[in-house]
Amino acid sequence: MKTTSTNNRNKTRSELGFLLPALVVVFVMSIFPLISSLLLSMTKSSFSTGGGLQLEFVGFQNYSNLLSDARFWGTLGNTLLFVFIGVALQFGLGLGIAMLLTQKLFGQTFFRVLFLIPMMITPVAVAYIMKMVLNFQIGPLAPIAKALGFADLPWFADANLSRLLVIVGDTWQWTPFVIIVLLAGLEALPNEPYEAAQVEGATPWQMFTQITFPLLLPVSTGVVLIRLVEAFKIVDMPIVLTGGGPGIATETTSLFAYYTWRTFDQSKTAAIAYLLVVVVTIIGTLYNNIIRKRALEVAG
Amino acid sequence: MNKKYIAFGAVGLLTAGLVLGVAQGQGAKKYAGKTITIVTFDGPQIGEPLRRHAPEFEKLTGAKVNIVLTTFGDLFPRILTDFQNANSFDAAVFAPQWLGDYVSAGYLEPLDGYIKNAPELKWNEIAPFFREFSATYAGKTYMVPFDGDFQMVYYRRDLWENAANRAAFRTKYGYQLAAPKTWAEYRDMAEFFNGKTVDGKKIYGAVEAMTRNAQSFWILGSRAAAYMQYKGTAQGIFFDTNNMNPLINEDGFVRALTEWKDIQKFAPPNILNYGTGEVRSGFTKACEAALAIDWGDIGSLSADKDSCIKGKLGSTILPGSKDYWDRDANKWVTAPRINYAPYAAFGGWSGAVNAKSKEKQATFDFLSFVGQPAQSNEDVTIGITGFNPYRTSHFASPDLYVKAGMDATDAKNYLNAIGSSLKNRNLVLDYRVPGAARYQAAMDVGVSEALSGQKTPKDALDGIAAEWNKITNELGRQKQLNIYRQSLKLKSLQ
Repeated sequence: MKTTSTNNRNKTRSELGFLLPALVVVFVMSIFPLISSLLLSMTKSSFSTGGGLQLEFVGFQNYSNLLSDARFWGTLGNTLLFVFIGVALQFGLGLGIAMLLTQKLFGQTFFRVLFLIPMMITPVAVAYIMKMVLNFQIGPLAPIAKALGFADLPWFADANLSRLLVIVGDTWQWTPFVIIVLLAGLEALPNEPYEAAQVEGATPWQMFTQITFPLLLPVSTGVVLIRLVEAFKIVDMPIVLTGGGPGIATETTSLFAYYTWRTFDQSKTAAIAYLLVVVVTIIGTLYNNIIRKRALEVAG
Repeated sequence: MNKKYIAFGAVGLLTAGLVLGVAQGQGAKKYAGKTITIVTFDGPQIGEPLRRHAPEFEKLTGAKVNIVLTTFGDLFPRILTDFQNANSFDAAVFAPQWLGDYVSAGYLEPLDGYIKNAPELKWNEIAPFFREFSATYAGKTYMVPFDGDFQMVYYRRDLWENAANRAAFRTKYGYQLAAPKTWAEYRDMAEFFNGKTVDGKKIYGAVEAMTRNAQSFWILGSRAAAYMQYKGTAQGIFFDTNNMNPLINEDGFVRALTEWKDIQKFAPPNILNYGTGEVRSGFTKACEAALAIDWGDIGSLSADKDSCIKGKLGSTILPGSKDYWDRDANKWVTAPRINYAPYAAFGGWSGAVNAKSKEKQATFDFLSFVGQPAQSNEDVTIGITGFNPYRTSHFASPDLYVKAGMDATDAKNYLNAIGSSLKNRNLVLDYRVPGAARYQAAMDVGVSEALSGQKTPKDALDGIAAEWNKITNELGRQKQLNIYRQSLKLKSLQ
């Protein structure tokens, strides 16, 4: 009995020994920052004369201030716009290009690499490339823009045109990610359903809507979920292209948090970040439980 | 055998002597074995001169100097975070506007004693505004200035001197074409030259930094200064010195913002995406406009190899106004003469020592070394440094600028413009209160809303004022008021 008990204790100890490094890493890298930033979001920070940074507990005051702040709601509206329109465009384009890349066309390998380039470049660099490309006065598209008459549109003065620029830039950057995932999904699809459909005389469109799209749903909903969560963090493109302007027309909630952090209002920054986490969690959960679940059921 | 031992001994002695000699030589160097770390902005301006002077200082003193560079946006919080916790930076080179935050938290070392013992810094040669206002806070000196920052107007001298242009301008506007003396004249000139073909290319009337998240709020300050301040630096333009109420939505600012928005008609179509980078390259490299507003940088950039403005550059003090807004009487008052109020926007890059540095003297000596005439006389003539003239010695010899590649007439004109701004007793000081970055961020959004037409200038400025009041109340109105008054050298109100 004694030997068994000692053995069990030793086993537990060695298990704990193996788990401990991972637990420490999770605690230091995730749990501690999560708790400390939550506490920070419930404080007011100020500098006392000669006393450095002072934190005063204010409960949910930062949250209530934000919820009554038009700028917070404005930036959240922009974020949702970029997320839903941007991700929809990226998915549509990504699926189309991925399907094209599965065709046996001339230069297929070349195009596969070419389409992935934006994803391989540092996001800030992508934003600067887009800034040059979207400069319709002296950029590479200037002659086309001038010929088609849209060079002189108020791209940076009009809120909707500025938003369009950000969406175009973000789509250019992230469509390759959707392409690569969907391409892998497409190449893994079985051949049998297509052979059967061909025997039955199905048109290409019918094959796409009745076979490809449903079979691809598990991968599609997965990639959309990843992009949804990622898109909420959009910062690089608006900060480089428009600085969040005009006014706050292209300022996202993440960018609002960054600008607030730059003024060293750490408590408000933490509160903005937490509110964004709540929004992302709600939308992610809704998407996962309603849309993704349903799609997976359809896919069988 | 004996000879071998003697030879060995001789070599040994020689080596020991050499080692001792070297060691003694190193010992003579004041800061051998000491390391100092300075953080600043990588523009590449500002970082460039510090990195260039670091090895020179190392050679002279034996100290090891680390220069840490960061983006402008991250500089303010990065310094605060470090001074609050790690204290890994012995000094920082930043905007005097942030003194309010750093000094009130006790992070900076007063430098009066150090300056007294550094005759080679030639402190009294620094222009009084930078020495007495910009570098000081609540009666103590905290900064060593490296840069004379205030905004000016630049114009195409060749176009202004053209006889046909002069005649046509006089016919159209009824007065002589010369450097703009008022904002109304500036507008007329922008309108007159907008769309004119120069060297086979259509040019615009003016280029100014209007984009968000850049320098637009400083340009608004420059345009409002002459309408808002007429009693000298201590009057201030941003807050009421009696109660800390914002002045940003007073009629002087509303007029300035309205006039500024109007200038868009004479600017490139994408002017709302112009920061100072675009303004500088547009004016000096592409020669796309007749007028520009900028700090002193366009002057030194005109000497660059790829400059198209060399020999054609005109510089002048910021335009003034024939009337000003009397905030007490709530009415516009005609000025006895044109009211000039050059705006020391940003305040000029300067260095300050961390109060918790373990190497305060060595750190100060490095800052002093960079600021000494031997270094700064040359630095202010080089565009890439981002440093503009601020010492009397910088004005004494236009030859230095010519040597750096500037055209002689351009240089004379440029130095005259800076000189007349510096001598002006009505120079406007940037706000230097705790939370300056927060006030500025609110201004940035409001200005952008007005320039893009999302709000009227008045509504946008009312929005900024409301935001400023919120910040002031949060940080403590009385405390903020006293600090603002101190920055203007006014006594505290209790």
